[in-house]
Amino acid sequence: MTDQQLEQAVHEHYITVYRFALGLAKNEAEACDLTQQTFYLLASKGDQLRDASKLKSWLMTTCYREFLRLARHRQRFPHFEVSIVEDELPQVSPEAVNQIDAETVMQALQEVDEVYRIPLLLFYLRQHSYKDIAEVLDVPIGTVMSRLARGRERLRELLSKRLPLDSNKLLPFADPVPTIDHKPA
Amino acid sequence: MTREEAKLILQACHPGGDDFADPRVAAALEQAQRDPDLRVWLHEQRAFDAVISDKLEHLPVPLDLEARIIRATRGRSEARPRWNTAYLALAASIVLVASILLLWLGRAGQGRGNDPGDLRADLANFLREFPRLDLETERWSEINEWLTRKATLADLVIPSHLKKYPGLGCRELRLKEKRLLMVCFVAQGEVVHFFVVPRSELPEPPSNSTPQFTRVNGWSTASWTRGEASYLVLTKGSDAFLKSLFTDQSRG
Repeated sequence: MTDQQLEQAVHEHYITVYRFALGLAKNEAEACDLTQQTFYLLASKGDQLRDASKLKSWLMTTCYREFLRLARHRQRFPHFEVSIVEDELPQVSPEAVNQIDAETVMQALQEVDEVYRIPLLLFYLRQHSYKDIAEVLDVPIGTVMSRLARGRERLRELLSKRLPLDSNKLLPFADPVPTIDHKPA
Repeated sequence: MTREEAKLILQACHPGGDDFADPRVAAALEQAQRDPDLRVWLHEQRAFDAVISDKLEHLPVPLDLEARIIRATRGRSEARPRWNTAYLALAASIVLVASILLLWLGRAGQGRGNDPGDLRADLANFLREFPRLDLETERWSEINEWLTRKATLADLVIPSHLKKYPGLGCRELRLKEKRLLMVCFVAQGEVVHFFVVPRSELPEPPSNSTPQFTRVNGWSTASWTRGEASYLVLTKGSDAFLKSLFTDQSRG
């Protein structure tokens, strides 16, 4: 890979890789290091990439693996307590989420368990297909689908707790509640 | 397909994306055309996803990051990422400490018993520093291949629900003249070390066929025997965390 090709790849993809790294790591400094290391590996091993159309997936896979390699030596991973939701909760509406700033949305996403957070990050950033996600994570497509569904549920719950106090943009339930017609006797 | 099946498929797709070539997606979309409630749900789902994507696309990025990356990668022999040197030093120190520990364990183990509790204590000592791995990978397909090559036990079983967590890698080791296979993975932020040893190598293997939990030297442990294999699991996570790994088999 020539310097020019590498610079082009950096220019096209560094922002997405950084945002993915920020979702994985716990802070900006680590996300920057992770991003830099990802492209360093591209510089070192980029010649192994035969199909240029796979560059985006290659970068995300590499970033993900480097995150695990780095965290391995700490013996712990940035993790937040996840409460298990037993009851159906009100669904936060898109209009309500729009009132929340980007950093707060990312903070909520970082609280989602990494099993579900990583597929969600790949889904939302640069619009990876579920097949791309399955390839990056090396899991079956069905697993990707169920993790996306569950992760999104959890993200909605976390976002609902971050709504502005005066927000009334909650939908009662995702599905309409059945009603019974009472006929007078 | 049921409405729930259609929802599961549709929520994983982007409008107008590559996934639409999949016949299942086409069928789910067709169902949404016929089912007004499903159509409304899909519309709301896509609106939510669009907002989230838009928010993430507007996350600020450090202004000098692109320049730093290009400086670091240009000429590759200089300006390595700052933690890479630290990583090499850490890796070297881990190998040194692990070597010293193994030598010490080899001498200290002479004359000690073969109680599984002793083995757990020995493993807790071994794990004071994160061990070198023979195979570093997060992919369970590669871990399974490695186990198939290394294991002499036909009925070795790693609980399938544990494989939803990212792997770290594996290693074959000898400890007090016992041959163990170690698999490491990460669950809910905690590193978990999963050991397999032939039951014939333990004078008193765990008698229970389901995990029994104890604490050993600050580690939460679980042990059980099934068929010809005994299993030991160690983690620095809490007892409740370790128990939850073996009870929460429904989440995939």
